[in-house]
Amino acid sequence: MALLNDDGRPIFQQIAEKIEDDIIENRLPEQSQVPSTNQFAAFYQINPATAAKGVNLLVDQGILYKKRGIGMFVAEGARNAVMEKRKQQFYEHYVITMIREAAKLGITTKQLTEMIMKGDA
Amino acid sequence: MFPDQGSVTADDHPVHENPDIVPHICFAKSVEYAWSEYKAQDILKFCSLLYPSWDADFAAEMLGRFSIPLKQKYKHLSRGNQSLLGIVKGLASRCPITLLDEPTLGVDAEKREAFYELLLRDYSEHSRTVILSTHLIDESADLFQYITLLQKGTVTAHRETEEFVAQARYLQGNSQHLGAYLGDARVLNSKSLGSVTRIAWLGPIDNEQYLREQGIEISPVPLQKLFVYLTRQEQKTSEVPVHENIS
Repeated sequence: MALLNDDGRPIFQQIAEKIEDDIIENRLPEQSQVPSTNQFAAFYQINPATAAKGVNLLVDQGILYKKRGIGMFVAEGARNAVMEKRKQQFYEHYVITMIREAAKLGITTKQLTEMIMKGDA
Repeated sequence: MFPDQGSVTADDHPVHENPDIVPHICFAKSVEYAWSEYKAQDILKFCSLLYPSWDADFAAEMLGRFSIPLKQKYKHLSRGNQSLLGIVKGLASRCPITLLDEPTLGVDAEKREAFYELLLRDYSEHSRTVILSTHLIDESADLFQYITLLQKGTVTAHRETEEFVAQARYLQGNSQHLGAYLGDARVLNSKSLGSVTRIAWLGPIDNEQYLREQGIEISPVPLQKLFVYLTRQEQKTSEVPVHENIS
């Protein structure tokens, strides 16, 4: 129902990324409790099983951990782990895409570098 | 209702006229002709006797949320309100197996959203099997764990929603690059605009990286479009693997 990006990536993956974003931006500090799958389901209007799949993806990666009977929590060191993972994805997702679009528009590497310098200022 | 062919079982027990099973299955239709002469309040009183896990408070909450008039005969209710009363019956029954047949027929957008929210909330709190049939595919797609495609009374596909959606993608780009694909049985649909072609491709794409480098854009096919393509090319749907057990 278009509360998430309709870019074709599976919804559970997008849920995992939303949680990762919250960890990076410190909206979910380490050792804090993550909303329940039912809360995610209600917020994004998705099936609770899909939300659970997204949360479990991060549990498998050691970014979240389960406290029996209480819920899911952000693991110690999760922020660094997520940052490292995201830095690796950055090249693929952003840099390659940018270079391809620049080539299409006839923007030279020099011009592209200048734009980056300008944007960084 | 009487079966014309086949059999229906729940946990391997036949369903038809089975007093141990019937109270735990709720079949909510968008029109209930048997209700014509009764008022909403009487209909729900009747339902409360029928289903052992009936939640009267939840029924009352939904009646209020949907603003269904209590003292009007069912036959005088609007098309939307008749559907909504079916939803109240289906959800308040809390049956382990609940079938909602076209629950949103004639229901306006605001009430449909309210229904989706109530369905998700109640399903989260009281887990059960809800089988929902609908023609409003895209707006309800994210609610489902499994998707079943029925064509002329036969199940032609039953898969997890994300797998179902992921089986097809659009390829769009220069007609010269995509021309080689045309005519392949896995092309569900193709359209051209000048020298640009877009095809809907069913199945995995092996050389995705190469295609992107060729300037081919790869994007998802909305679920409703996928349904349309699969329905139009019925012979091709036989290639879609059928999920064995419906859980």
